[in-house]
This record gives sequence, structure tokens and C-alpha cells, in this order.
Amino acid sequence: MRRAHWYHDNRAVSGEKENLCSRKGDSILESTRRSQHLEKKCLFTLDEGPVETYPSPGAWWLLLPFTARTMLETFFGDEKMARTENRGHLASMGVRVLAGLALVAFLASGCSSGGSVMMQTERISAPEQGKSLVTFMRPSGFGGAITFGCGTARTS
Amino acid sequence: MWDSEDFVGILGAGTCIQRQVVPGEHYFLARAENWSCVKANLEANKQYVIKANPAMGVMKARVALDPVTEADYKSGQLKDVQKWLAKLRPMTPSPQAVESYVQPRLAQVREAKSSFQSGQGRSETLAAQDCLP
Repeated sequence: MRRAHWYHDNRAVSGEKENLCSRKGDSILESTRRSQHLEKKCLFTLDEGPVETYPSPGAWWLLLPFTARTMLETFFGDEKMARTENRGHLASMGVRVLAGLALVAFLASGCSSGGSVMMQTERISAPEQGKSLVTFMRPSGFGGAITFGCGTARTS
Repeated sequence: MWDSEDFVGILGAGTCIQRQVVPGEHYFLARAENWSCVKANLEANKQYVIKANPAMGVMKARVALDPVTEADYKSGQLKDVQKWLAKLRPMTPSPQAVESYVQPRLAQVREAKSSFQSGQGRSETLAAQDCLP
């Protein structure tokens, strides 16, 4: 609905396009529907650039560039970047939810812990006679100890 | 964490695991989303430190084992290591939970160890002289 307002408001500032897209007495929604119909039928363009429409649901891979653009719009808040039809809106909402869940899982993945398998014990200060003492340490779950990627990381 | 097929423990954030081992060659393995390995050659009556660096993975954490070497100590990281040794909570596996934890994972550990032994996976090296000064 926010985008419907945007369509309407933008056309309302241009007298010529206002006449093409809406009629007196139309509700915002009716006006928007009419303008979208015109866009599809006549490839109507605004001053800001050509109108973009989503492909059919079968060609899901064609949605990828649109999805990327929609995500950029979501994160950086530029509503003019994406102009979509209702069907595209539903698809992009689903993608946003999935992207959000994936982001949460990605961030939470760095926080695994020992659970109930481990218990606290006494600190050992020196190796027993004839043995070697190996200390495995994990100073931090996040922060300086974090390394990105699958390679090994140095201590620094 | 594994010492070849022996379970060492689960290394949580802010903790350490200390293990007395027989001197000689050891394969220390860590498993998260990936496997990481340190091939160690240990001397008797010496103390060695291996740091586990967690990293973000897709569904769970990734890990990179990082042996602290003689060069690291000389480059000024001895203070950090001593601070961590004093500060981190020492943990040990609970005897009741070990059996049920180890059994289902042994086959994977053997497979991972053999892949590191054969050189398919890259392992870090902890030499005898890399002990805590």
C-alpha cells in the first residue's frame, strides 16, 4: 500500500501524467491499479526510468536480480529503486523473510558451546613427570578470535 | 576436540581444556562445520598451547586450530597466552556423558584423521620446540 501511495503521489505532481493515470473521484487504489495497467499495456515510463515488471512465477531464476535490488532497497531504504506488481511483492516478501532467517542462522552459528558434556575442573599448572601438557583454549567466541573463511588463522 | 580417537572435550567460548598426554606424535582434531587438525610432536615435561579460532559458518560454527609456536611467543604473544591460561575456565568431559557422545562420532573421527594423515586435508604443525617458555 505504501508503494501505491508513492505511485499516486508521484503522478499527482505531474499534471500530464495525472490525467493519463487517474480520474477525478478515483480512490488511491483504483488510481494505482489504472496506472499499473497503463504501464503494462503501453510501457509507460516515468521520468525516473523505465518501468520494470517481474517475470512469470515459472521463471524463478529471473527473479534473482530483482530480489537483489529489493533487498538493497530494504536495507538502504530507497523506495524508488524497486517498482513491483503485487505478485512480485509477495515473492519479494517471502525472500526477505528467508533472507532474514538465513542471516540469523549465520550469526548464531558462531555461538556453539559444550552444553552438558563438559564440567568445570581444577586448573593444571605443570605437566606430570614424563608427560606433556597440552592446553586447548578458546579465549573468545566472537571478537578478536573470529576469522572468516575456512582457512586456518594465526593467533594475532 | 579429539586426540586421534580419544575424546578431549567440547571447547566452549571462554574455556580451556588441559590434557596430559604421552610424549610423541599426536593428531589433535577439532570438529565444527569443518575439521581442523594439528599434527604435534611433543616432548616430555613441556607445556603446549593450541588456540581454537571459531568462525561463522552456514548452519554452525567453523573452527581453525592455531598452535601457538615459538615464533609467536617471541613476537610478544606470551603475555596474552599467560593471561588466557589464568583467566579461562578449565573444563573436562563429564564421565557420564562421554560414552554417548563419543560412540556415534568415532567413525567420522577416524575418517577425518586418515584424510589428514594422507595429506588430503591441510594440518597445522606443532613442533617440539613450540613449548611454553
